[in-house]
Amino acid sequence: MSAHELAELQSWLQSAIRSAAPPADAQRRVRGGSVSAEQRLAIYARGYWLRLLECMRAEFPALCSALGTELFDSFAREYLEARPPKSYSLTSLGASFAGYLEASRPDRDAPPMERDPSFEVLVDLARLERAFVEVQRGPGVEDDRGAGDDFPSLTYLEPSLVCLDECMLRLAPGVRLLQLGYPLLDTMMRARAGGAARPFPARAKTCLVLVRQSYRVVGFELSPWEFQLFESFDDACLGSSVERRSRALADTTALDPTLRIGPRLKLWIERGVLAVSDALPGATA
Amino acid sequence: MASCLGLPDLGFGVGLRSQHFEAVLRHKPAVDWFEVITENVLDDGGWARQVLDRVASRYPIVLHGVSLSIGSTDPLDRSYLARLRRLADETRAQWVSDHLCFTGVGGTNTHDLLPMPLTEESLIHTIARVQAVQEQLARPLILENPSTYLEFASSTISEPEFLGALTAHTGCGLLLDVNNVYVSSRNHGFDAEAYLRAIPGERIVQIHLAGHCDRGSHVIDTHDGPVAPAVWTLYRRLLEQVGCRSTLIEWDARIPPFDELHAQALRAREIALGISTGSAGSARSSACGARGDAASMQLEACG
Repeated sequence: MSAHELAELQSWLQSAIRSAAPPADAQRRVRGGSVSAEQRLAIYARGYWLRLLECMRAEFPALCSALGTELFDSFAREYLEARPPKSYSLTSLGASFAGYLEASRPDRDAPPMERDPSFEVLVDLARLERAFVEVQRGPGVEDDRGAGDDFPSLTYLEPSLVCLDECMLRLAPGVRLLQLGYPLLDTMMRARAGGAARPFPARAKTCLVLVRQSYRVVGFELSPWEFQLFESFDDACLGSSVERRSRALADTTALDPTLRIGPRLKLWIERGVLAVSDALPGATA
Repeated sequence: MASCLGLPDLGFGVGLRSQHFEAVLRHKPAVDWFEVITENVLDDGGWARQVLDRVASRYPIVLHGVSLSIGSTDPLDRSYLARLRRLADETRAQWVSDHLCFTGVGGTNTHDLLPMPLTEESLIHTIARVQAVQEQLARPLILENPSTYLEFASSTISEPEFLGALTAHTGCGLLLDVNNVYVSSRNHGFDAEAYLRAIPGERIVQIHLAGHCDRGSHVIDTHDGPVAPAVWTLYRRLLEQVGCRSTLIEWDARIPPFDELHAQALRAREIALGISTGSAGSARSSACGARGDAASMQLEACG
């Protein structure tokens, strides 16, 4: 058996267990006995699909609950056939699921107004559940290591004591921002807590942030100006400049001119969405 | 006490699973050691990794991987190995183990432990890869015999011979899964005790025990129940043959309360101590006696 033949045999086995039917040459390549070669391959094939589908159900419990296991499995299996797992980590398994659902929707080429809204809500829910997993297993600030080596965190300070004019702000590590067509946060959280599926809420554009607090993922709705502000945080910036940027968003987001920006920013610091540190040398607004 | 490759005999441990995180952190059970599935924590920045750090500060830890794909014809995943080495260093892992198998080819990962053709060529291929892995990890690799449901017609070497040659040429250690020996013996019709006799006992660093599901015509390695009587019998035979080794209970599905899992490890200890005080050879008796002392010290440390 040459190196080429070894590679070919491994490809053959992998294809055999991912296929719906055993290959015609199974008996030539696999020893039989009381259990046939085809039955032996079927043991691996069954295990392969059971394992991956179980992981997909665990990653998308709200979507699975909403669709029912049978329909969810059919979507998940199509996805896994189209995009077989590449990573060593099963956590990556569902990374492209929402995108696949969006790309494979039967009305994807129809004008927006003619699209089936029931599919859009499924894609949104898949995006939200994926973001939940990424926040759950991603980096956090629970161990006071701060938001990176170059950003020694002051989040242990009482937020009310933070002087925004004299500090730097940035999004805390692991935070996820989402803009959805449906307010699905409660739907997802209820399903993840084991609650029964309920009808989806009515369509309403929603901005969300997911963050981890004491290793638990929590979500908050954001007003449009907060979403735009947080999205613009590509690096740390002075607290005073953040206040000015917030005001600048008033025209585009109908920000209430009487709203006191400072307390809102401190609320997001308290909730772990924003990380805060002393102003860095040379920091500019 | 050093048992093999200069690695310690850790006593009797259990796999650390998320269902038991709270029980382990809260009650600090008198377990000798824990084994952690590498991929469950390798990229985790959340609770699982936090728990591992806390557990590793109190108990010896072993990292047991399922994605090394040592037999694959794909290139080694150097990024994975770099992360694994860092994790092993950070958790002060006693050793790092994985399986004699391939998990995918052509860039795909099936997340299954697929059997290899056992031939001279695949042995040479695997030897080179084990050497490369050990070099990057800067520690010996411990490889486990997998449970298998098929054998390739092209195979020319028995699994014990293959493992023996692999350890001899690379210096790697063996994680002998006694349940896997039983499962494969039933599925392929070989003599499990003869398999144990053919394995190079001096290379065994660790032993796995687990439950399986008997389907009559074949047996599935399900890890969803207690260790079966036939596997306990094989375990006793193995200890009589090679002496005590670090032993671990795997239970991955339908996971019971922690005490029920721990009871399986305590049963393994009873068997080992029974052999050490029985009529087995004096050298082996000495080894098991030393392990009993070490286990007691562990009890005190964890109390």
